[in-house]
Amino acid sequence: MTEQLLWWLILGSFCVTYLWRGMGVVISSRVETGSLIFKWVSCVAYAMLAALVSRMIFLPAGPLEATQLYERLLACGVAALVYFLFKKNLIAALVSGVTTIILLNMP
Amino acid sequence: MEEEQLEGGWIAGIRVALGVQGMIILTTCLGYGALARETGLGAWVAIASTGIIWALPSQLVFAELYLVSASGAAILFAVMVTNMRFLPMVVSLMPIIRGRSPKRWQLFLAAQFVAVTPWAVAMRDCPKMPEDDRLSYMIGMGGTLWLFGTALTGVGYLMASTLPSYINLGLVFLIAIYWMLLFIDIRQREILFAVVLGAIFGPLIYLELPQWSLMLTGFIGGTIAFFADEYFTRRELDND
Repeated sequence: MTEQLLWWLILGSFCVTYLWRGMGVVISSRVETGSLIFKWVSCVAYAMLAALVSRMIFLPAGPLEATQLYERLLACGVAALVYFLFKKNLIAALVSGVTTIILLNMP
Repeated sequence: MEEEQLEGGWIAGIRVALGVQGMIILTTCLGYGALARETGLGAWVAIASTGIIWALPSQLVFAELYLVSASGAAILFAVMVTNMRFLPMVVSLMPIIRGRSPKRWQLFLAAQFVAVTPWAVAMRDCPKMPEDDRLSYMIGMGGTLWLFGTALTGVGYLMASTLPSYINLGLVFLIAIYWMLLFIDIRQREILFAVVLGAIFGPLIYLELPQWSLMLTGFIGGTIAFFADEYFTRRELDND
């Protein structure tokens, strides 16, 4: 893929992203937020997001390929544990999870 | 009991953006910068993608599909579908932040800053503010996050070239941990179904069809989750 095509894709991504945001502003006064179509849209979006995260954990591409599955699971487990032990403190959980995977991969 | 009142306006928004919530979103931008470099995107492309798209999940999708050499059409389609959630998000946010006599361009500007974290913060805080101070609060908060997030993508990108690889791993994996933590906090049944199905189908479909796996998983998992929830809702209604 050429550099130029990549820039067009970024621009295109802006269009297909702002499309939804702008449309939201326009129709916000007219549409029922509780409608079924919105519920379905959030389901699709979340399933996709979960697929992405799950793949990063179970079948990563790129730099995470160098790590072992058990290391990634352990890092997630530690983060989740800290999250609940420290009253849902996101920062503490993130730091502990990231530290775990770093320590496991330190030479 | 008196309702808790919060201060609105630009300054209050900027202050919140520089607090804990802001730190989290900014760290994920740092992680995205590192990831973008590992994926082979150029530095300016990475920075621009944060500023222009401003939706981390779809930026990950973008980088990911670029990595597996998907076609341009597949990338745009995936980004479009991943960001469909902004429609219901913006629609639900606007009546809250609009105030009595909003300037139209400010509403459209505020919409650009809507991403998961700014949206969640605004939905939580704005109802407790004077009506006319909400839109400026959203723009102050969202704009600050947007500005710093874009800059930190560049910082993350640069860091990735100087830091040892095991530190990069941590930055990249941070994003996965962040989303996982948000997932385990989900209480809405249909979203919970969607997340579980997506997490299971995602890797499986990826093994067969890497380039289309995200979209397929989204549609299949999301649709099953939607109908499963509808089914359970009807059954509960019948039992009442």
